[in-house]
Amino acid sequence: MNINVNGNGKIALSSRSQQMTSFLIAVGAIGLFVISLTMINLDLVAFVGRLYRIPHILSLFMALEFSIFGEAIGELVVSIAMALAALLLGGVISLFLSFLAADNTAPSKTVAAAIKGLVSTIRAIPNIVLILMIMAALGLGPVAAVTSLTLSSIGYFTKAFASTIEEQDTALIESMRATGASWFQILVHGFFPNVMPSFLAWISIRLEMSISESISLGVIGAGGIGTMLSRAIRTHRHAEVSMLILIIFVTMLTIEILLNIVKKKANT
Amino acid sequence: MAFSGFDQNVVPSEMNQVIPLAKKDSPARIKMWLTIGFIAALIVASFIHLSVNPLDILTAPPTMLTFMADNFFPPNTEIVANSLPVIIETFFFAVIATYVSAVISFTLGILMSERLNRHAVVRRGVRYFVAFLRNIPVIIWGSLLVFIFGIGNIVGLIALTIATMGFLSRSYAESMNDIAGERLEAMYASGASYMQILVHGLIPEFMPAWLNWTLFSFEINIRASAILGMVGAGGMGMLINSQMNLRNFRSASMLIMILVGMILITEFTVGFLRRKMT
Repeated sequence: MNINVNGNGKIALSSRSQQMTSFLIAVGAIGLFVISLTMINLDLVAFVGRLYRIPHILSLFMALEFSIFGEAIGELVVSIAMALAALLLGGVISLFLSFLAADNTAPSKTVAAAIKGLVSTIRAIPNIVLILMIMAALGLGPVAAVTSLTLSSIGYFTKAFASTIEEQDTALIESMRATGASWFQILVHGFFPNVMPSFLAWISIRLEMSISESISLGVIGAGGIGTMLSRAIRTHRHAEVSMLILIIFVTMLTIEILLNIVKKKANT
Repeated sequence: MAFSGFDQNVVPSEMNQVIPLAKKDSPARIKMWLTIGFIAALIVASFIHLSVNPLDILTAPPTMLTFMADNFFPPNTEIVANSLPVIIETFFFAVIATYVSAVISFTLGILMSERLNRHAVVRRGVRYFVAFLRNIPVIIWGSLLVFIFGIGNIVGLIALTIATMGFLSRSYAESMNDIAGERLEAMYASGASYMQILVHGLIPEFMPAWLNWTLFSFEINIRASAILGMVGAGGMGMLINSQMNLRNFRSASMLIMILVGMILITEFTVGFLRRKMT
């Protein structure tokens, strides 16, 4: 950092080039923001016109309906069960796909490229859109929900697993092969111990996403606590909505805290 | 980690003795199998509880694909011209939501950081608030806000901003804690004011992490802005949803293809920019 003396004899805290960069970034950022604002037409008038109702509506939410607690927990279990089922199916399928997709284990470059392309297309479809398409074909119900969650798990896991496999050093595997280990022994003793920690980390991250997605799909009508919530909203039962939101929040927070503990343990 | 199961102390006393590749009955192994067993039981219970046969799901793709091939193709290109304004709007919604949440999250991030905010009570309060924002899925924020404010695109903007704030504030705070090291201490010791520390100490150092996280959240926002339409919060999702409900599958598939294209391009551009910065 070159020291930079101002006109009044003070030494500036930041160098001139640093100041210029910050300035340019700020100008560019504000410019893009203004352009974006002019590109959309916000229905600001209607919005402001309705603002007077807000305090009243919010006051209606300041209550909890405890009578639905049992039912809500039951529906929550359904949501979590859908997420877990999809996690397993997606995980197992991805385990195979990732071997075929990773550069260092793929049987051919074409197969690897095809799988990677397919998987990134799946990932690009938001899974709410995915379930709309699947529900159009399979009808409402848990099968549609688990299928769509499985697909998005495959999208996530195949990419994640393949990148872990690609990081592996092939020297260990080659030396095991040289000492006469069987293919199965190489896989179980040479390969899995190395990739297991990363795979478990991917799975635990995905678990949180999967449960959140499963609750979200419910809002569209796929079953579980999300469906219960959207029903409560549609029928204007404020106290029930508050109760369900609280249950969802506590569940997601608990999962986040548990995963943080697991991550810390894994790092030490 | 490579040879965790390998016992270094086993010395072959005879030539033909086999050294096991992994020790059979170590406590770690038993614990691992117990965990695996527990998880397996949980997953089996999940399938039973849902009364879903895993085979149904594995055999679903052929049915699905034939249905989609029959009904979704060829996409109806006529819808593009009509929906172009909404498509453009969706993109700029994501831009604005990213901006607003980046600015608010910067403040919240400072308040959440142990090194920059010494008031433990404030810190904890903000932390819980942000955790609340983060742990409610975005579509639930959407449907809740539509319920409170009525249908409209500004509601979608608020929902996007709230969900992004939850994610960004925590990421910012973590990055701030990582960088707020010697330079800030030195400035503090030499008598710089809090504002001076922020402007000259924190912001220049924080800029790369800030850009990185913000770009990443933009990518998430593009996706989410499509989702939010499903609950009446404006944008492309609303179009897709209504075409689906009308069973105009060919129009819906056109819109979905545009959406997927938009997401892929964003993903690629953001990935490119992030790689360039590091």
